[in-house]
Amino acid sequence: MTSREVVTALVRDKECPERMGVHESFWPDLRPTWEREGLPTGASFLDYFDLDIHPVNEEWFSTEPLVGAKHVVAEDDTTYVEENGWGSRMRFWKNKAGTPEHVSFGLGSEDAWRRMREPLLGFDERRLGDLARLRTEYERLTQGSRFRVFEVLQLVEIMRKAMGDVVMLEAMCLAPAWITDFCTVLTDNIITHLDRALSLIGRPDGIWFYEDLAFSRQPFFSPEMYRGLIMPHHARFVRFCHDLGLPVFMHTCGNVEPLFPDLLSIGIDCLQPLEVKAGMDVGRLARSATRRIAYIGGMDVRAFETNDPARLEAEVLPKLAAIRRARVPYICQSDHSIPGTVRLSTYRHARGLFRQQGRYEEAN
Amino acid sequence: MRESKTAGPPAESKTAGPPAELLEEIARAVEVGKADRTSPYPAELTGKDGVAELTGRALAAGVPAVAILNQGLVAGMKPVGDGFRAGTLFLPEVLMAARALAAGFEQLKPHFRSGALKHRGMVVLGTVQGDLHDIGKKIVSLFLEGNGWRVIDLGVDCGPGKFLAAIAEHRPAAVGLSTLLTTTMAGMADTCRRIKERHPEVKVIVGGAPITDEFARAIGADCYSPDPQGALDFLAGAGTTAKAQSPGRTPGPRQP
Repeated sequence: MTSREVVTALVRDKECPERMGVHESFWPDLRPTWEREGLPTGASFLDYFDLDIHPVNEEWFSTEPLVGAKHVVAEDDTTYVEENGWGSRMRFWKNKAGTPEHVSFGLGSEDAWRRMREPLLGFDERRLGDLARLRTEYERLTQGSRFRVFEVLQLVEIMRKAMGDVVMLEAMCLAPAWITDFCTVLTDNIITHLDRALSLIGRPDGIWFYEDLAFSRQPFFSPEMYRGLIMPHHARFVRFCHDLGLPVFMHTCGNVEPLFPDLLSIGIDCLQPLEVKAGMDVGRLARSATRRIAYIGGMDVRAFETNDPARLEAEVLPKLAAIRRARVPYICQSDHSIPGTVRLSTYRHARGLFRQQGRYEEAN
Repeated sequence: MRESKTAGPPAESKTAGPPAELLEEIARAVEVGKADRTSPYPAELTGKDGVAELTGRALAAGVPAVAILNQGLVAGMKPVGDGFRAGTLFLPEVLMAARALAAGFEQLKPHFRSGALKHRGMVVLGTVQGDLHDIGKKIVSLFLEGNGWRVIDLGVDCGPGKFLAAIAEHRPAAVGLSTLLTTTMAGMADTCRRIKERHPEVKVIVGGAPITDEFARAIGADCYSPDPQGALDFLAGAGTTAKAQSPGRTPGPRQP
């Protein structure tokens, strides 16, 4: 089976084909070290490790009110501060990946939202960026055999970029109508532009929905608040994708387990990355699920970081065995991403374990 | 509106009786996050008095400021901390309680300025070098301030030198080190070691998603807690209030 066929069976059809999938995210700053350790210079991680999913990065279209306004406003030796199309400023590392520091936010009040919502209404082709490049990328992906996903940033992620955590979470209590309007406008915007983009470029095999809903201990907000303010819009987006025959992958960091029944009810097809340090457990989720979904991740990256093959095996092998026994549709990945502290030989070993032990037929 | 853990109905205007009842009303208003009469939250209490009005009324009635602080405001935050620890309360409700608390503190400002009221002590917080995450630190800060601690927040990406300079300047009872990334745990260990070398009297509290009690012990931290309430319990039990700045104290109890 090709990668596309394997992931389609796992995620769209919730079946267990001949093997599990393999996917991974790598921090860009590990490349120089890995090249010194034997990774061919400039090698694609996807090709070198023969991974199954080819994502098109979420920045392929803009959901900011001011299109093309992003610019660097300050920098030092190690970081730079960028102002985005919401007028928010964030500090990023220059030479490594990581969540940015929120410096200031452009959307601080409901009045500011009234001014910013207008440019978000209706279709604006500039939001789709470089369509010719996207078409070329899509054609290249289509010639290959990997499962093609388009990444899409979702509502809570967008609100956090626009207004920050504190204003967002306070507004959920003090101004719920504002949050509802924001989510309605942004969902309309995303659906309108994704619909047009797919007609202009072509359909991928799935949509990868980026939406951090939790931190290490629990969701940012209660299940009741999620149901009242956010979930109806998520459900609308998932219905849109399903109507096109596209399964929906959901990335959410943190302990999202209290929201799991609601995510199942809106039709999420695959949950990722199942952070172990936040208490997520793929076996427990699969046992509690009221319907079948697929899972990606859940292998504790702290075991990778020991660079000790025995500790890595102690983390990976029992989990793969349990997943195999329970016949859970599963794609192997660390529980978020591989940082620069992991040696190339360690990841190669993990990759080997995933391919050798991540097979379902042994359970038959 | 969520149910108050304290007895009786939520804050109702113009029913305040003796001081004890008024203090209970303040505590309930903090707990449910009713900051002032104009606040639309909780919706069920729209137009009712909040912490600001109730605190003002208590002061006008001659209730001692220290009683308002401890039996009203701080007491109201306790069930919020407990609920957050238990996973029954979430960040928006915590933020509403913190706003309500701030409304009460605003009324008490003249009493802090006059010296009639004192903070429990000072805590310096920062995210360690190499890490730009700050939501966990912000949450801890809310709870510390809500329990009468003065917080100096150094921000994110703080090297050991920044913590040492802040300790020298502010003489805090404790320092809180935060990180979300596994890759910056080594930097946390180095910062903790350098603080303990120079200022053994200052308690070091560590937290963040990848941190464990085992790691905290290994790096010589005094306390690890997976939630803010654990840090508060540690500070309350570790003799950090008032006496914390005497050098050479042995480490206090560690949270499980």
